[in-house]
Amino acid sequence: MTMSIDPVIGFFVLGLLAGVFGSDLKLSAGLSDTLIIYLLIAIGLKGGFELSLIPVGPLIVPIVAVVLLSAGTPFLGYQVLRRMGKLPHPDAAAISAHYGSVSVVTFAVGASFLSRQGIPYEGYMSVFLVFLEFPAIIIGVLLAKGINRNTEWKRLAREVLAGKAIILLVGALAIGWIWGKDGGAPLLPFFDGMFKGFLSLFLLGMGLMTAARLPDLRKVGPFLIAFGIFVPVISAAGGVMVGWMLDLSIGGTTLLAILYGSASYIAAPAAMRIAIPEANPALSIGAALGVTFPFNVLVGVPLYFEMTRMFYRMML
Amino acid sequence: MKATQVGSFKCVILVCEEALEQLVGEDIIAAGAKGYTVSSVRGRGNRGVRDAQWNLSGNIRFEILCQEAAAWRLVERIESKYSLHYGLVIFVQDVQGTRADKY
Repeated sequence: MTMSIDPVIGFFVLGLLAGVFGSDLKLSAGLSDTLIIYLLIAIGLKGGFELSLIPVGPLIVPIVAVVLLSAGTPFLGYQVLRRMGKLPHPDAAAISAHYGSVSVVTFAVGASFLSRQGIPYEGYMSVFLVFLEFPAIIIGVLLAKGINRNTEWKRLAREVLAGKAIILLVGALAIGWIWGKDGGAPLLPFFDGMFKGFLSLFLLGMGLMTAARLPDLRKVGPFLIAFGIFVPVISAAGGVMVGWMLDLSIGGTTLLAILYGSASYIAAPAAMRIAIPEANPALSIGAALGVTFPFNVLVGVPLYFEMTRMFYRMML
Repeated sequence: MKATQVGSFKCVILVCEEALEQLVGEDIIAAGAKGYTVSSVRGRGNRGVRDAQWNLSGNIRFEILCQEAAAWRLVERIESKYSLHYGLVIFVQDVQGTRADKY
């Protein structure tokens, strides 16, 4: 019998268990940084190579549509947090920003899942990843402060746009696009061939990290735990519809659903800590990292794939 | 051999969240200090364990050598700007050293 679950998930579970049992296993901060840099470059390059094969013009409309419709998640999240969760205004805004932004590693797990299932997807999906990373962060600040003169927009823009996630994704995308798949061929063994190995290492670290956040769940409370599961599923369902409207393949729509359903825990926390200092970071990081990330990696990715398949069958 | 001139000045120690490095760095210079040293640290306080295991869960420690007036200006500036919403420890020590005019 072959295991149907992607082996990279096994490393996430291993990290989680090691953390729960109090193992001394630890990924040094330097290694985590290196791994995230590797993953960002690998994803950006892959998108750039695919982009070099097709005309870019027809992508502009889908990108604008995907970005505009992605604003649904933070607005929905904010209303749910304020009305149903009775959360303070700054916390609701900061948490919505985390959920509106996207998680690179969840995207990578989704891509790995699809390639294992043999499902093709549009290679330029990582272009969407780039454009979904930062708008929600800006929406979060707007929700918290409105158009306020005291907001240091310049600093925030630098924090978000010059953050390593955007710099590396956009940079690697450009490099892949300029050199093309043939020109970039020498990079493939490292950035493509070894991708799953490095992803496994990173997920091992993420498992440890998630285990370390589990005590925060007590502070987070049952409402935010439910929020961290249901809002991603609803957003992912929205992503399925957007992908269908844009005529993406089943694989592409699954990845878009994953992007809509994921919550940021790298770019958003750093930006929110500076932009909305009143918000308690334990709540947003606890929900994004303690609830939504494990949910998406273990359940969400296959679930969003099934949702996409079912929807496409229904619409035939 | 010429006797070395020993002078007194202040050392401000400031431990805060990693996220503040750039902001606090600018405040230190604005308060009149000429420079600072930063290092990554771990610890525990009333905001829980800061284990440096994840970005933003770490702390940083600034050491700032400066004259007394700048030291208290800095303490006041940092306390008023950040102590409400961020984890923060700040205190001032008397120190002796050579080349006091450097600070």
